Amino acid sequence: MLFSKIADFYEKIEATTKRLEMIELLVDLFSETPREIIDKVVYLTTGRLYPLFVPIELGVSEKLAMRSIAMVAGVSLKDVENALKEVGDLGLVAEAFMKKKRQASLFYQPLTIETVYETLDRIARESGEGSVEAKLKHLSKLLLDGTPKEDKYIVRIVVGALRLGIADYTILDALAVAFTGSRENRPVLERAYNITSDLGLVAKVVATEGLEALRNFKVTVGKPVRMMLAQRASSPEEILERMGGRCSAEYKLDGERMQIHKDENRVDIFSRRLENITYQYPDIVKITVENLTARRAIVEGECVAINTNTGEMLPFQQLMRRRRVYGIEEAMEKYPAMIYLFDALLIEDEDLTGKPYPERRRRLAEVTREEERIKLVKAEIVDNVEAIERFFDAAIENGCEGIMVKSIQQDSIYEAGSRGYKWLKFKREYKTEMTDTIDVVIVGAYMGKGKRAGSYGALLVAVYDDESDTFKTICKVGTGFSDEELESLPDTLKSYQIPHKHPRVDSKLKADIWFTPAKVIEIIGAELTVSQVHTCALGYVKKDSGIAVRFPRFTGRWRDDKGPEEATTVREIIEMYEQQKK
Amino acid sequence: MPFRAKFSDARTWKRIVDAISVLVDEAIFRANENSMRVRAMDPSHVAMVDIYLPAGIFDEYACSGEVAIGLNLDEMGKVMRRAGTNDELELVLDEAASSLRVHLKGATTRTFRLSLLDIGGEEPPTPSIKFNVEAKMLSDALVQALKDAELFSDHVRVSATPDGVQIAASGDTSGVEVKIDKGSEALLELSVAESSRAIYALSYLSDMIKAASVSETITLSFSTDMPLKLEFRVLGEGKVTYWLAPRIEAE
Repeated sequence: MLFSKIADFYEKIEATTKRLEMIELLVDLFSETPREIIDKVVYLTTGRLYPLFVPIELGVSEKLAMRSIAMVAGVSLKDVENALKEVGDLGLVAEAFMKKKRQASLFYQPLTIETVYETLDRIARESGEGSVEAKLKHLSKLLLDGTPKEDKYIVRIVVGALRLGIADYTILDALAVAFTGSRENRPVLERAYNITSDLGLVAKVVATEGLEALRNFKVTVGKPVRMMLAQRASSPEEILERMGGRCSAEYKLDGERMQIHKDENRVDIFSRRLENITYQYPDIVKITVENLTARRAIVEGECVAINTNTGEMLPFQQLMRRRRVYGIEEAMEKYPAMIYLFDALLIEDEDLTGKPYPERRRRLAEVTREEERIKLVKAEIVDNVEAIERFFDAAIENGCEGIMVKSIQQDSIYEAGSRGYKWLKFKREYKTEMTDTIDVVIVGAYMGKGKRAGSYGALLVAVYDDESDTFKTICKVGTGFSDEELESLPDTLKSYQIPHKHPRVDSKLKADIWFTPAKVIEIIGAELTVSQVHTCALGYVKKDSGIAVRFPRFTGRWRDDKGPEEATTVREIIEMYEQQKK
Repeated sequence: MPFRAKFSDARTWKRIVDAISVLVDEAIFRANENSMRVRAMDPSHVAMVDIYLPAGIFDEYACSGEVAIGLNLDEMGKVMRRAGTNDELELVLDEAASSLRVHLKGATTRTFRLSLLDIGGEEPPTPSIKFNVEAKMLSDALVQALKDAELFSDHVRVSATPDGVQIAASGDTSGVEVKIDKGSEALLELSVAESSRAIYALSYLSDMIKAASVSETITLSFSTDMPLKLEFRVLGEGKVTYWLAPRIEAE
């Protein structure tokens, strides 16, 4: 299949402003794809070569891509750099330069999806001495053989900026229609995806073997299970009501959630976003190899930075610094960490995700040898308001951000990939004011005036609506940014800029600039109010009105650990709104 | 033993390896009873190398049937840099161990074992091009001309008329032109069916010429806006040929 086909579809997908149209386009693309390469097409469409958890990156810097463009176009690197400064999107820069290619090739071949994928794979696998030059040559071959339009998308893929803004669930929808004839089968695909986190695999199996084969998918070591998430609770009373009077209360630690896969002496650690972050945590690898007594296991826990002198837990930001330090040995020494485990998804060859939580927790305790740096999260069965409050106070005193409460009923299974009411997080009481932060996605911006001329005056931000898979605006935020931050905003956001509102963004407001929903920031405000202009929870409080944040302020925290679909949801906002009325 | 070959001077082999590694990191050496050949395309498809080594140029040569020897040239290059000036070289294919043994015989006998690569892929075809210009010249003249060109640009214009070959490069405001006229001692033979000119990227051309400069003379063939062919001899009958795609001049 020719790569030009895929490029045409990407162009149409980018141009659409309607989500349904987006799905239809994907259905057409998937239907036209030969089934044996459907996985490759799915990965490419997500802008990658492999699922997120496979730690192979293309490793092509913007600079390297620019060198390739310069070589093929027969212009200087400076020319390309200047064009990028002006346009902001290297894909468009490539497209423009490729209209006047000057370097010729000895043998032209029209690009097929297979060639593009294989060449990108070679680029990804080149490493060590001379690998930069080798990557450059492989990339140049693609650019030489491609049309300007194809080259635009190739460049975007190699520099990790394809950003069609297609959610995983949108792809599942399209796959269900394309290969089973109906969206009604999506739950089967969704389950298979939730326990393997591998869209390409799901696509390949449904396309070549059918639904039945997907039903046979099992939890396996090495393939991360999409994490079960929690809803918010706002009072001990609500907790007891939702949990049937009794539940397990646990410390909610301010760290990085991890899913740890152990197979004999091999350990893989996956983040919330299911990226393989094993290399950042050799210390956690060692602790788990030594202290998880099962030969094979998938367990979950929270990794926290600690002060080794006092044993105190340190804030989340300390742990995130590990990502920025050069040299993991140094990072481990500077930011020591430990792991608190709380769940077991698989032990030996037994899939525990269908078992009630108390049993999973018991099995976890059986295979964990607690030591200084590996413990079970503190938990207690609670069945009355006082007990919850006491436990909550103890948690805060011990440096936690709140508590988690988990159902211990018969149906308290591990719901992969879902944010349900079997787990609740209880942070602080939401009284009349908004005391908790929310994570919002940047979807648009307004140009600044006066002192802020040349930069943005405010960002239009949105929360995620998981029912419609869209982003609903909740406020404009313009305060809380430092001067430097403000100045660098256009640069930071440049590569997400698109010429029109993204189809998954629902907004009554017209922003000066629109973005692909990608970047997540943390904000806080005075309270949640009824709004005529924002689309969050539209019609919930009053007809034609939504909910907005009053006096929003950026907390200074970029949530790069969160994808746009992991932002605060509309449902959570409704809960918070209900709570503050009380 | 399906394949063994000997050079009394190990440096000959080093030059051959260097001539290939200018373009690629790995290559398949295809041998039969008459000759050894390598054809490799640079990954960007802008350049290609073709090497022909008849059995006669080796001091000893034995090969039964068709043999394909996939080698990591980086590794081979490192081994060859360890060869002394008076070392004799022997290559022996050990199919059972899936490796190539490289014996360097000087005061001592050193045996290196290089594992064979399993490189798939089709052999690139020979470009079919009608050349209007063919010039045989002293390689040093070309080496010097390209060094001059590198002062100003990353590409060079090569042109030819019945009177001679010209090589020019220009930057924004400055530049250089080198004339290799007919009758000069640098230009040994020249045939021009039609005056021609074309532009080539120096990043490729300089490396090729550097590898070619082990031979005293080289033959250059090209036509307007067409690939360039560069050929030189190794030990008489051995032949190294490079192909390089042009850069098309802007309107």
